[in-house]
Amino acid sequence: MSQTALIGNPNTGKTSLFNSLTGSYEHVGNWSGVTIEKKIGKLKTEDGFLIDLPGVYSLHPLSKDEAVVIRYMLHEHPQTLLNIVDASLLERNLQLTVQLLEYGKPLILCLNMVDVAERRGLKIDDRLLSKRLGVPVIPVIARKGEGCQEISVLLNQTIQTKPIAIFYGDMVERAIDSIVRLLPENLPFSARWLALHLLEQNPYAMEFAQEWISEEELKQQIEAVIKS
Amino acid sequence: MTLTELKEGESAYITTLEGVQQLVKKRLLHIGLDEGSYVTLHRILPIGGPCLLECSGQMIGIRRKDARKIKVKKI
Repeated sequence: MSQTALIGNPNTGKTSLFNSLTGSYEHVGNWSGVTIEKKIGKLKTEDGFLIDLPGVYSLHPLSKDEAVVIRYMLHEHPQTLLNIVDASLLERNLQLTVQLLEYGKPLILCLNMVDVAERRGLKIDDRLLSKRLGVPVIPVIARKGEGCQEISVLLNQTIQTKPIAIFYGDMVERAIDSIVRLLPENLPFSARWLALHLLEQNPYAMEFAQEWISEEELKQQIEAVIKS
Repeated sequence: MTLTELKEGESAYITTLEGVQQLVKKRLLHIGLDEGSYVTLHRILPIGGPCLLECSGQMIGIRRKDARKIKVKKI
């Protein structure tokens, strides 16, 4: 059955949205680190499961609970990503969004706390954001369940996501190319995404890819790039 | 000058994060603090306590020891 993963920064309302969409009562708190492992719930409105994951700022984990997300993305294969962002701290939140877009799977961006942002004088143009990122953007107030209807409708459809390819400069691009060449073609996600995390020396990505590229080979690749 | 030399309420641009502990540097980068970022020092707690910074709408608490390593320039 299809799996949708809920990913976002800490304290952006993932578990609130999870509870609204699955009808469960997981513990919610207004501080970071309430969810420390993944939770699975059945979607209320259609067949399929929703996976609630701990909040992270980046896919490069700095502590053990943060590794849950990258491990999930490497070893299990969600059909759709539900990325929840805090509209009042959009810049910081979009950093993770880019890493998720690079994964190469359909993504829905849930713009949460639009009410909080508005009180701070921020008005987010969700249509323009959707156009720029090439993904559907839904304003939600997860706490009150507003916008959940729209998300359910989208989850029942096939979502078209435009693949994103950010240019990281000649040096990094060359390294990405040479790493991608070593990776198998039938990966369940974008090989470029994996290559980027290998270059960042994400330990979980390195462990995942060790049968195709050893730590030693990777170090050589990185050094070759630095020297060239 | 370093971040801790600012007075409470003063703002500055970060000039370098060199010398900041690797883990702290990564965390700061993940939340959007890098060279060139504009930060405001809100409070320094007494007796060697931590500092409270603001950067692009978010409040960040860091150890004084780490803040001392962050070099800034006032405009």
